[in-house]
Amino acid sequence: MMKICVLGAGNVGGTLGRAWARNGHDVFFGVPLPGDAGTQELLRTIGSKVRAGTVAEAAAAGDVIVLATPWPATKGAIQAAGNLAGRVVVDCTNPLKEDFSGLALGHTTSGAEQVAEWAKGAKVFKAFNQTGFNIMGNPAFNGQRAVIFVCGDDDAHKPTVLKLAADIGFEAIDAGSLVIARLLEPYGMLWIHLALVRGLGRDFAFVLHRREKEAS
Amino acid sequence: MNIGIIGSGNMGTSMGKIWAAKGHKVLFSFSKDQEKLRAVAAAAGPNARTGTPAEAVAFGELVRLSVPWAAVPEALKAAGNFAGKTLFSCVNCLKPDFSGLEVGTSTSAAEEIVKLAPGAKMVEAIPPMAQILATDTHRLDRQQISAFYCGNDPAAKASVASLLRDLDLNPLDAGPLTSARYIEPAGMPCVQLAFGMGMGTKLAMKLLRDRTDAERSYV
Repeated sequence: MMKICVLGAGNVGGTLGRAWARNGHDVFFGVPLPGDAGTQELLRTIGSKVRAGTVAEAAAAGDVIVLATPWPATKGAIQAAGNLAGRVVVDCTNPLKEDFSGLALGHTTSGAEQVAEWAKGAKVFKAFNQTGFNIMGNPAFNGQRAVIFVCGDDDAHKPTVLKLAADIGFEAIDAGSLVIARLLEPYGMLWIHLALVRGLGRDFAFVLHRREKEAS
Repeated sequence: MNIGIIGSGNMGTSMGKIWAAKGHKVLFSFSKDQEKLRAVAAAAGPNARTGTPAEAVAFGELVRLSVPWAAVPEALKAAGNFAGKTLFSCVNCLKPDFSGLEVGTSTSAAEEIVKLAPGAKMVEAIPPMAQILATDTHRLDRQQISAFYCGNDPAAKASVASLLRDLDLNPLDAGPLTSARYIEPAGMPCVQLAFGMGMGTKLAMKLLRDRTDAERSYV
């Protein structure tokens, strides 16, 4: 069991928090207005193992801090969280332009690297930016598990983040160091583009196939 | 279909051989080693021959570009005029050490290539690893691998999709050519896993859509 601080209680944060609570973790949502109707309704439907507070309160309590904010709110959330030096931060954001038409940053840097610069000293990982919240709720497709890639520079805490993804049913794959977020963010953008622009809807995901798994 | 192939690496030759076996006419071009190119064409059978990049363009209703990013300007200069041709690019703008992409986000390899081939009906598709295409089955876990393609000309895209199906791949239309900004980096996690993380080259991504109602109702 872990104490998980989820900053943001929207579709992504709410779904991840619900899934972790269901799997025995203690979830603490950090939001600007913990008492508002939407957040209270979320707590009510999740039931036990969950609460909400300000960003600073939630961030103080978590073994892991999960960033599930819209990109424009991300810097403010990190500032409100206080000193994150030494903390494990999982960045689920995509630095989307406001009209979802593309990424505001990329290739020579990434949202995750920007987050690491803002969250001085934190052990930042990128994950959960690559599929929709509905898939995070249950990543199974006829029993096959959708893949989530995790990248980050802190090897000591990477197993923790991988386990959080596995706990809610993903195949969790270590994709390497934090600079790999430069790839995972446009990869996340592809999911968004297919779902929202190409009309595939939200009910699809990517699975990783390896020939080693095949019967010979 | 007549297919001109520019580029004689694993990707160009393994696809060309399969298409030739499927009854397409294939012309291989652009190699430093003409002997090797002739051997590739001979192995591909009576539907294959060799020539220059300019001949590949003249010959092909569709021209496959599969050269390293650094060789693109030379290859396209040798190829000449693409006006009216379907240009099917598999070029990802990989850095030489596979650590990332040379251009992106605000543009893509596909968009840069079409600037050098004015008038071409450009389609980009990012196929699975050449090491997979070089083997007997292109399936992993007995399932088809997804291959995204994008472009602005519907007929040219349909041709490319049909060729991808010939390779036993699952073609997925990712939209206009600017989608190359996404499908190019989206191919990179597999490259990173294979070469950066030591997982080997026998891996690929598939897009899943079928799921049970129980799986779909997640709350």
